[in-house]
Amino acid sequence: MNDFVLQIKDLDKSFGKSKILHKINLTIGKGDVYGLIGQNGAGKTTLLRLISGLMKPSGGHITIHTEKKYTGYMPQSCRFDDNNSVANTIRFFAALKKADVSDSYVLCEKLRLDMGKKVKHLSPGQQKKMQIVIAMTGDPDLYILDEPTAGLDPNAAFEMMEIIKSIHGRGKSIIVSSHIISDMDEICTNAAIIEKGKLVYDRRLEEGYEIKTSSVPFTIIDMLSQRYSLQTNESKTVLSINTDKNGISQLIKELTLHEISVFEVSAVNVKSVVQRQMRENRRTDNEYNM
Amino acid sequence: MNITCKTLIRRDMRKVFHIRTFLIWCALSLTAIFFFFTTGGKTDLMQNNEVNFMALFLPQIIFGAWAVLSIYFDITSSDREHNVLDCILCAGISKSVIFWCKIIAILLASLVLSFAYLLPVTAVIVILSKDIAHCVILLQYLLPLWSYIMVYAALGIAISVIARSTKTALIVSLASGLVLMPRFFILIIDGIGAIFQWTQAAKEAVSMIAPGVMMEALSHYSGTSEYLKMTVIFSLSIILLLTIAFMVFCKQDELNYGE
Repeated sequence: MNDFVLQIKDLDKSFGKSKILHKINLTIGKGDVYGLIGQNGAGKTTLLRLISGLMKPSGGHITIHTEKKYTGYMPQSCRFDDNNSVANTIRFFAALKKADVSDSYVLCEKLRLDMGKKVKHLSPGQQKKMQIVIAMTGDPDLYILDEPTAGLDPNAAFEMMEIIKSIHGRGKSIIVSSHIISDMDEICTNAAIIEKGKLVYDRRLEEGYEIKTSSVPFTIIDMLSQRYSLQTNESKTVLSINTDKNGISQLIKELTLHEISVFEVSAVNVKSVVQRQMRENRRTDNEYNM
Repeated sequence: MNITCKTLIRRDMRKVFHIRTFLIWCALSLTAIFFFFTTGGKTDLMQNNEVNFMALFLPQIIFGAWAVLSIYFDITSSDREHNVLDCILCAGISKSVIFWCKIIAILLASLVLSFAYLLPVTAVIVILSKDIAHCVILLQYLLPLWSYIMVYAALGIAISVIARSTKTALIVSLASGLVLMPRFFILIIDGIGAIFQWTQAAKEAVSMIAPGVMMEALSHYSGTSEYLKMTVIFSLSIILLLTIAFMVFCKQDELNYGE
């Protein structure tokens, strides 16, 4: 039995001469919530559509290891048959997935979704709720959520986040794309950044730490780099490290031993990842312009 | 047929038999009765006890393309536009299954529509002639009308698949209906024939591409060879259009990239 749910190897996607995705490698484990971050047009939706099987890759492999042959896909925007009722729409998808519809009805009641209402009479928030109920019908092992909170008011967005958390709580794997960093911070266990079709960052968030220190001499950085996966900023005052809690305590001890003051230790979150990436981009752009 | 196919077909049938379809086909059936009285159909029936082909099918020949395309133009485009197709595909259903279910749905729907069109006018004929034997008209013309409707249905599904949005599909359907209107189509072929110096026979043969022109031609002949020709042309048209639609449907995401 594999411990990953989704594995992407050297994935390429081109449309004619334009290359949309280039050599993407990604592994999503059981129970992971993978946050996919990137600017508009970076290739996030294309990647999600490839994973859900809506498109065929131009190169590379996508392997999905789930018991069920369907995924819980929630597109960025979706509008079901206007004149159909919520119950009929959910029943339709349950029939396609050969799943028990009663669980979905219970979920509808929990989310205060009026099943007798016609789809055209639902508010955007209720439409999104119905979409997530449809995605959850049949209890898939892998969820693909494309901007689940986009266009929702704060209350509806909060409810949506709670639903996603409950899916994660049941040990399901989720790959989610969003522009709302605070949402991503709340739910993601991993973060991946896509830029111009390339995966430029991919890390488990709870394994990443940032340590703000007084300036660390190059010799010490060199020494620590031999034992830790370590990165520093230009002024050598921020150390980014991939390790667990024991590793971080050990490192702090070593820094103190070398008379380096440790001001702050924080776990890496999506916001810090994005900020660092933006800084990196700005630096690369400046170098390129020079 | 498994439960998945039945579910998909039932949904497509529900989409096809919209209130819009009911109104359009009621109007078409009433027009058929009106034309039967005003184009010499009644006179032929009362004097010679014959049913005039043109008197039966004139509304179909003139408005058939629009009436049929108006039903099928959004059968795929709306699902794609609203991302419902993506949700269906992610439910573990393959594109080929979805497409085959659509074909079965349009086959059944077109048969029902053929019946719905012929039933009122046949009833009028039976009442006027007081001859129940005229009910056979329903059976005699059901198959030609079904295949005639199926040509436009196949065109409708092809437009629905190829068009990038429902609005585009509607515009293309309206334009196609206009171009395929027999009188207009013959004028177009005459113009093209004049440029390329085609013979009259060549122009007539090419005109048969339009289903309405083919149906019109049938009114002048009663021989089985003409009906055989019609069967071949209609079958080829249906197969060609559905094949194009299927190929585009399977590669739609790649073809429509950049919307």
